Amino acid sequence: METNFSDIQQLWQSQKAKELDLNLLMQQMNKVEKKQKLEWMLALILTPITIVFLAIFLPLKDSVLGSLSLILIGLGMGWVIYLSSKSKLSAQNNPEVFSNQEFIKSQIKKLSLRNRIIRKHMISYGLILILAINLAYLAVLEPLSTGFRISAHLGASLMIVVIMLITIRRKSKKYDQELKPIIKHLESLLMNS
Amino acid sequence: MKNKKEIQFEQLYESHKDRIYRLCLGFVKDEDQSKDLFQEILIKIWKHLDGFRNESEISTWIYRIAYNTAITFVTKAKKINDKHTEIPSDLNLSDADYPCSKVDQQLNLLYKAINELPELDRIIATLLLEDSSYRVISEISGISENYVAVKVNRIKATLSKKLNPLIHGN
Repeated sequence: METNFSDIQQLWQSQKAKELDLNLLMQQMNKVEKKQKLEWMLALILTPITIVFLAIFLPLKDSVLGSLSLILIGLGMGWVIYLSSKSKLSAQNNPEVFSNQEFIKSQIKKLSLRNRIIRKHMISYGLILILAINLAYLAVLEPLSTGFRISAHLGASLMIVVIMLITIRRKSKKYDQELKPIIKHLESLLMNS
Repeated sequence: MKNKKEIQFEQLYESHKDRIYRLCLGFVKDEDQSKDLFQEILIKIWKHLDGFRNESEISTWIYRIAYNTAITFVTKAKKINDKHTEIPSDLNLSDADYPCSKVDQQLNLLYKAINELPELDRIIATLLLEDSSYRVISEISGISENYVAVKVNRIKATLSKKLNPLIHGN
């Protein structure tokens, strides 16, 4: 006998949910929420504390170059916090705001932003850091010999470049392997709709 | 003692758990994965519950979360499956190995049929099976009501054909 669509609906609606321990789930979610709030507060508090610490304990604030260095470090840290909060707090993370099509578009945008952060913003951040450290060295190492100062400048700059290159390469590889296929799949969903 | 959020969440869970669970079964192939997806949707609902502003019906709000979470979950699961398994897609692991009632067999057939639909059609099919109106389907899926109507006819035909293989010559 042929099954018509209302029979299919009845069959579908006959399936009931398997019970789960809702109290345990809520308990775990409350814990996670508290932990995330604490981490966020710590990140917000630690940035100004670091800047104040650098300003108080390093002889930077007494010279123009040192002050410039502190400002650059502060701006760099603020920028990192901004980018990270933009990706975490934006409406793109709120699945209830969007219809499915809009949500897919927003996810593609969000994942593409991660690519931009890795390939573009991290290089800019590295350059700001190199500039800030070199300015600080100009102020702090002034009494030392020229040879030592040049080595310190080159050594620090080279170290940041190497660390940045390794980090960018590692993150780019991870992006290509994990996120790029997800973007492709999401794009195919949009095209097929 | 439970706080306001916990009480509200519990009420939402009781009124929507079956629909959300069925949605999960329509989106992922195995039961363990559907349980994971079920839990992930509940976590998302919990996380965003404070932000619900009564601008839409609570069920539409929940469905948006559920379907968008399901799409992300399926996309991630697909990537992991592509990477780690080489099981042929036509491998039959069903009824013969796991004897079950006729209703269970029909349900498995239905989940399989829905699972084989493209993702957007899966959204429409599962909403349709829950008796949702074209307006609600349109709001959740993001496509026009007219296009929903076109899709609904095709989906009804496809599902009926798959569940009545002898009549339709499959």
